[in-house]
Amino acid sequence: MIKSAVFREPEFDILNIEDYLREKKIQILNKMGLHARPAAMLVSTASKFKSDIFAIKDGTEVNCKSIMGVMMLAAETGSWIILRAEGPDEIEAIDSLSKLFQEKFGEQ
Amino acid sequence: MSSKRKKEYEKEITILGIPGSPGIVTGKLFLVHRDKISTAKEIIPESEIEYEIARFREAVSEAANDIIKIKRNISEKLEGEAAGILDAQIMFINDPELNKQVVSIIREQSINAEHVYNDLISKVIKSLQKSNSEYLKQRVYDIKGIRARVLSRLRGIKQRHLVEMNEPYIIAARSLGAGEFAQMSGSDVIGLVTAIGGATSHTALLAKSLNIPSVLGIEDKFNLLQNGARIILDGNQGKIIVNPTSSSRELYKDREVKFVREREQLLVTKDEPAVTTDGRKVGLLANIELLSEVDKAINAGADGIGLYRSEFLYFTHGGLPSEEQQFRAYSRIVRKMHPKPVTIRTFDLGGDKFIDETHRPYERNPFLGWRAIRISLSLPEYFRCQLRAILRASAFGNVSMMLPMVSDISEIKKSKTMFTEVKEELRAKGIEFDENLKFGIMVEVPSAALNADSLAQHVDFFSIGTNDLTQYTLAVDRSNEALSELFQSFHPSVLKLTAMAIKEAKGAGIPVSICGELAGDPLAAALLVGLGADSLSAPYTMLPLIKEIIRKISSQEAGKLAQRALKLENTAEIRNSLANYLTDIFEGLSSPIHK
Repeated sequence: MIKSAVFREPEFDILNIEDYLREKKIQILNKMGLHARPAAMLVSTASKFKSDIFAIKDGTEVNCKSIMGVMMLAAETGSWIILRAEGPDEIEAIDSLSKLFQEKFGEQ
Repeated sequence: MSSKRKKEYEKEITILGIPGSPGIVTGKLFLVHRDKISTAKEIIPESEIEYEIARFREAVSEAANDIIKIKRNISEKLEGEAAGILDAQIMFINDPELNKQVVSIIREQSINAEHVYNDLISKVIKSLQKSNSEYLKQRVYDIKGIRARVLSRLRGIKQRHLVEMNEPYIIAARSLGAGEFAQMSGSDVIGLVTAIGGATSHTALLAKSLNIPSVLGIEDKFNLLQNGARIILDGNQGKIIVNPTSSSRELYKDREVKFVREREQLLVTKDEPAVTTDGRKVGLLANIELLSEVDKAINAGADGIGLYRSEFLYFTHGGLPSEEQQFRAYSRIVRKMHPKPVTIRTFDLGGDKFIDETHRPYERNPFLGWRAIRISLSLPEYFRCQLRAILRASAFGNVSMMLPMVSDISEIKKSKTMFTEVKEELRAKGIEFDENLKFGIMVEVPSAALNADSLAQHVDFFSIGTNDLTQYTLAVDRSNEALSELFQSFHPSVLKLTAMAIKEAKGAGIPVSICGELAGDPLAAALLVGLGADSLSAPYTMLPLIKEIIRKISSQEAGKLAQRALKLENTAEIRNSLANYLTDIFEGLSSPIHK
């Protein structure tokens, strides 16, 4: 236990494998940041899942199904956020949301 | 309410206003509250809280539907980014986090939905304004628009639940835009009363063409009106009688019957041509806003549609209609009228014609601002879309189109270039249209009348819009009731400009029609024929009377009358001279001759 605590990656608060899967730190790669269309895409994708989904940046936690919330994060390109899901489809939710970020919200 | 106060409140009161459109009706009043939206804090009684929450949810879903509708109407034309903006607006309105907070505050603190919603949105706006990001600051405008939408929906729901009308009613509103009136006017609306607005406001014109009697500009007397009160509305004299006694009711019943009978008598000659005693044919055309008016226009004996106000599609669709929606509307009118002509005027938006406050851009002088052809030319995609729809409809009958509010020749040239391009495009696709479709303009700005000689070289016809021509010539806002006495369509200057435009049209060999209020005014008929107008286009309800007059006058006499009128120095003299002429040839005509 102690050994794993010493060697775990500093960005993640990994207590067990489930926590690892339903929480993900992710960098915003698209040029616009979480603005306009990307914000709307994030909200509409998150709204498809039953789980509660949150985005955390600089200590502020917002509901990913709320456009006001996502917008208020003001996440610029290059910044990092943590996505967290809690609920029956949490793993699928994190999976599909991180794909959205990796694919730069369909930019280019 | 004590019995004494109740009695007082039921006393008969007569209120004088401006006659908007003729006719007499009796019915219950339905007050439409259009005052500024109140977001004042109100405490909701315990028993009403769930209703208040349901009201809020309904407003949210209606507001979201509004945007979905707009999106559907224009989505054919919108690509990615713009459609995404509308999606984002829908998300804002449906925001679960925000709406959850609103509901829980209503429930926990028993406060009205307007106050809670406004309060939360204001907080969001404040924090956005503090942000360093230009993007977030920009979002303030979106959020303000969304707030206005939800609040105006909330207001609407309150009203609908307040009054349950199960009989025809008379609408009373402090002010009412033509668009709002168009949306309300179903078969249940039999009359209209407004506190502000003159006889030539677009709302009054719409009432006239829908054959709904109206009284306008009753000003502060508006406060005497109570929701549900029974009134007599006399649109001939511009009078309303609140809580009428039985003797008033009888008197007005008689007048109503007489008025209806006179109208019917005029219809006897409706299928006879409008020809002067010396054999000159004058086209009598109808101004229409709605599809439902086409049959009525035909029944009234119209020779065609002289002015189809296409912008009413914007009001009835709650946004810009798509090409297909326009095509369907235009082709239905054209088919129904075939082989009679239909003149479609391109969107005449702006001025006093916006669907509601949330769509109105801020302008210091809206009538001198972004309106009519100026809007069309600045939104070329939408304008092309309308041109395509008009051209496609022309395959089914006799179609002309005209541009509103032309003030400079460049507007004609730009529009014509687009028109030619759209034709090319249709030809390339093998889509049928009328190659000879007539392209005309409204002459309704003094610059157009003064420059009529050169404008006439570029178009197929003129249609003189006397309402705007009066407004712009005399610098009198036609919807300002405080100035209604200064709004004089018979003013010598207006007549001179009209005469000038007609003369130049004749010189260039193109036909000229009159389509303003003046064309439907019995007093003006002989004058306009005398000035040389080829056709008059008026609300269909006025056509039988105008025809009756034309069939009684000689074109030559009318010409002399017009020349005399042009030499008179003020409106009163001109009106008097016309009234004397009309009395001479029309002894015993008792139909109302309006101011």
